[in-house]
Amino acid sequence: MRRGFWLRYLGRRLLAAVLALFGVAVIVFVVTRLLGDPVELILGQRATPEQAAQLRAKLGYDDPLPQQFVRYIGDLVQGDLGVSNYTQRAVTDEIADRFPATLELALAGMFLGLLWTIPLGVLAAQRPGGWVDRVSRAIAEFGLAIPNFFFGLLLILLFAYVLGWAPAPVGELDIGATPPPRVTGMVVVDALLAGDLSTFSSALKYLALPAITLAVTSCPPILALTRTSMITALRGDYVRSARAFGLPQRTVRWYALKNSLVPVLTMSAMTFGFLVGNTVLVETVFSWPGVGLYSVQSMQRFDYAPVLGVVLLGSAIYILVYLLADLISMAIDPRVREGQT
Amino acid sequence: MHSTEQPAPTRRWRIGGVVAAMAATLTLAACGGGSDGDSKPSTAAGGDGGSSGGGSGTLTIGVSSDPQTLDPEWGQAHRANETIKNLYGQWTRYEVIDNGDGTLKADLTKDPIGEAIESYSLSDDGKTVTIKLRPDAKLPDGEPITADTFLFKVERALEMNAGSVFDFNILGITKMSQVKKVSDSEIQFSLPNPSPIVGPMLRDQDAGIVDPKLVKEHMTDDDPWGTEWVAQNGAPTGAYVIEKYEPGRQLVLKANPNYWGEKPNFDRVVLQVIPDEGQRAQLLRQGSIDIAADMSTDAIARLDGASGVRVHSVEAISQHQLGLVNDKPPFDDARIRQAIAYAIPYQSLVDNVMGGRAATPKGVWPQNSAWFDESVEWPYATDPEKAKQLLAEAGAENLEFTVQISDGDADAQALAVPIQSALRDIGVTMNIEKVAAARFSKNLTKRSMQAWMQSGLGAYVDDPYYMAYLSHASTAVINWTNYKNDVVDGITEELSRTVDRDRRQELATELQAALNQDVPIIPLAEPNWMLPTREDIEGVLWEPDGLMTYRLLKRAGG
Repeated sequence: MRRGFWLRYLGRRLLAAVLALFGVAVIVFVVTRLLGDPVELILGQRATPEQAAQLRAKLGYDDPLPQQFVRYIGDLVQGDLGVSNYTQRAVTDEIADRFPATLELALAGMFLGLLWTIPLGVLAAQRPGGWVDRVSRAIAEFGLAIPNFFFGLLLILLFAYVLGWAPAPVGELDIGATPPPRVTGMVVVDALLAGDLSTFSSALKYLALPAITLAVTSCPPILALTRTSMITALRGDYVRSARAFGLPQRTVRWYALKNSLVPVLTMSAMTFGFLVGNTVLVETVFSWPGVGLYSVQSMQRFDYAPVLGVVLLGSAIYILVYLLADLISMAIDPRVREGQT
Repeated sequence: MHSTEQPAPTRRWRIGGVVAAMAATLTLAACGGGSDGDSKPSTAAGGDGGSSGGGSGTLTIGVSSDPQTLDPEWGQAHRANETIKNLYGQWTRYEVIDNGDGTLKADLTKDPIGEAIESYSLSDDGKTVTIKLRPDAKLPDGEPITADTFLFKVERALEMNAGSVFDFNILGITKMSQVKKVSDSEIQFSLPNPSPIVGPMLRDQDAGIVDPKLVKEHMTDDDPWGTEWVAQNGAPTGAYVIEKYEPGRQLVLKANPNYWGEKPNFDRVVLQVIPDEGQRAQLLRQGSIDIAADMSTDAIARLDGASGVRVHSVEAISQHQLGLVNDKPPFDDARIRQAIAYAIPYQSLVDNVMGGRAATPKGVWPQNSAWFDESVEWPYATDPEKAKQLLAEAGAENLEFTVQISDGDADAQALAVPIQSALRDIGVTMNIEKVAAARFSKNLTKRSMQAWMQSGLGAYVDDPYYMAYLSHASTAVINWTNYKNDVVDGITEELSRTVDRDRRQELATELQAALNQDVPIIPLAEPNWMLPTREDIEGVLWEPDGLMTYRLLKRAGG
């Protein structure tokens, strides 16, 4: 493909991404400011009105909202997400501390999700209405219908407390355990890098239930789409031709799969975006020290900067993953590309 | 009901129970509670590492969140306050009474005694406080604690003008010239008026001393008191210091090797963040943690009787309250406030909402306060007829009002429903409005609501002046009902300069009589302070602040 096309396309998408992020920043800014400021919470109830006024001025919350917004966007453009009013730490540092845990969980959830949805979707498409199809659809509907935190609680109850196969939900590692030396921040990966197999296996056990929770509750749309697009593909002319030529069933299925992957890829990307968002409640149930839990705590404390930071991060991930999926599908499917020119 | 952290401002007035927040977590909790069934000790994967409070020297506490800050000057919220109390050496402490059942309680009938200091005494005119320091007290690094250590603390509090400044301002100390170093081992405060609450105020956790050397190393031009560093790292001087802090995961404390007082029973305390209340309860049942902190009354009730678990329960001085804003209709008429007070189903609230672990109120003044006078009349037994009669006298027909409750206050929400139906029986409509915790706080400050309900309100200091100054006087900072009574204001003024104990008791009695007559606030129930632990945990100390003292906790037979 011509380079000019790719550059123009990328430029357009990136511009759209920036605009979308700006929109998100505006919405979150307005919503958090509507709730009120945290000055009373920070100072406590016995503080005098003078003290409150002094702190409000110091934090800049007595400036007119437009001025606060301009300051906020100005900082944002320089990569400065502000400072938590409580911990006094830079929000970028706090997020950098916690995001790897969320990413680890989301990637594990996505991996398990693809592992069960795509094969099942392909199998179900072989005989629509058959038992595989019915069972897989039942699982998918269950996964979609049940709130993720509730499913997490069921898993905890059954596997941690009744059967004792999984550890109690106290986070990524045993209580009081020392995490492996930090390289990626993802405990499973870091344990492996450090060659610490016992920590690695312990971390995997802690990761299992929350990852399964996400895989079951977030990924059913992938199954549904794999099934549908596989059915469509199997009815395609080229499949009929291939069959007519007597190609083996496996080869025919592979052709069909390749052709049905494009929408599945896009759906997977979208699902990943949702899945990152879904970690919020799952992290709470499993005491998982990621950004979801961090944002919940920050919201309760009316700590604006972290809330804005986390929401922007989530939106950026979503936009980025979506963009990547589009680029990949354009690369593998010329028809998508043509639609763009 | 459940949840992650206590967002409500909880300073002097601790909002008890815990507190929830997000609707989602609420649902979670409900469900966690449903999982009451059998819990077996986890021999599973989770059990293998260093889990469980099993290690003889380690105490594991499941907490709802990280401490909001480690800087005592900024300590306001419950989790931060408790951490600060255990990390920073307080000037004084209450003497301790052993209840004989594994629990201890602060002896409120006596003045606090020296802790980081050796002793303090007031001059005859009550305006000079002489503080003698311990010759042997050391900072964690082994350097001696001297007069300069204390002066540095006072100066830091005054200059930063954050929450902790209250401890000194209420004594009348507003500038450093009132704080004099007499020698390395003696300090003097000059107060504008005699103050009866020097000992209790210096006991406050946020009055605790910081390690001056550590703080000074991190002071910069932008941050002249090093608060950015202290908030994240702490500068401890107390029974425990920080071994490691992984925000969002755990805070591990270890015994301060140079602590001057009695050695803590546990060498290590692990504060493990378990944001969901239901999970904390389950982990306690299963023995993975020794103590489940930050629990609502409801969750504690469900832990009652669980095998291996013990719910410690100590009579306290806090109250669940219904505040009626006095200076606007309809509650500007005392008869209407009294009518509401007659309509409250006190016994049923204690039995059915508080699981029996509370007392019915005997006055606006808490009955376990050392200053409570039983002879003061409290006529408001549940009497709907009397209530209707008062409403008729006041000419209030089809009375309707709205009560605001913080969305983080599970106990208040639970109390509101039976009260709503009791009021309906006397023809009063009470609308319940749940608001976000921070918004609730703001509305209290602005006195913008008609009525509010809060659980677990209790004064950190059991003293009539303190209580009057903080909540009942017309100018009081947390007089959230805008109550104004000249008699009460007069009593408050006299209390501020009276040190004679007998006279103070007389004034406290007059104050109680006025409050019971006016009912600016209706006490709903007086809850016990409760802490669910594994059954082998003893040495659970209740103090008016409701914050645990880790130093005294121990394992039975351990």
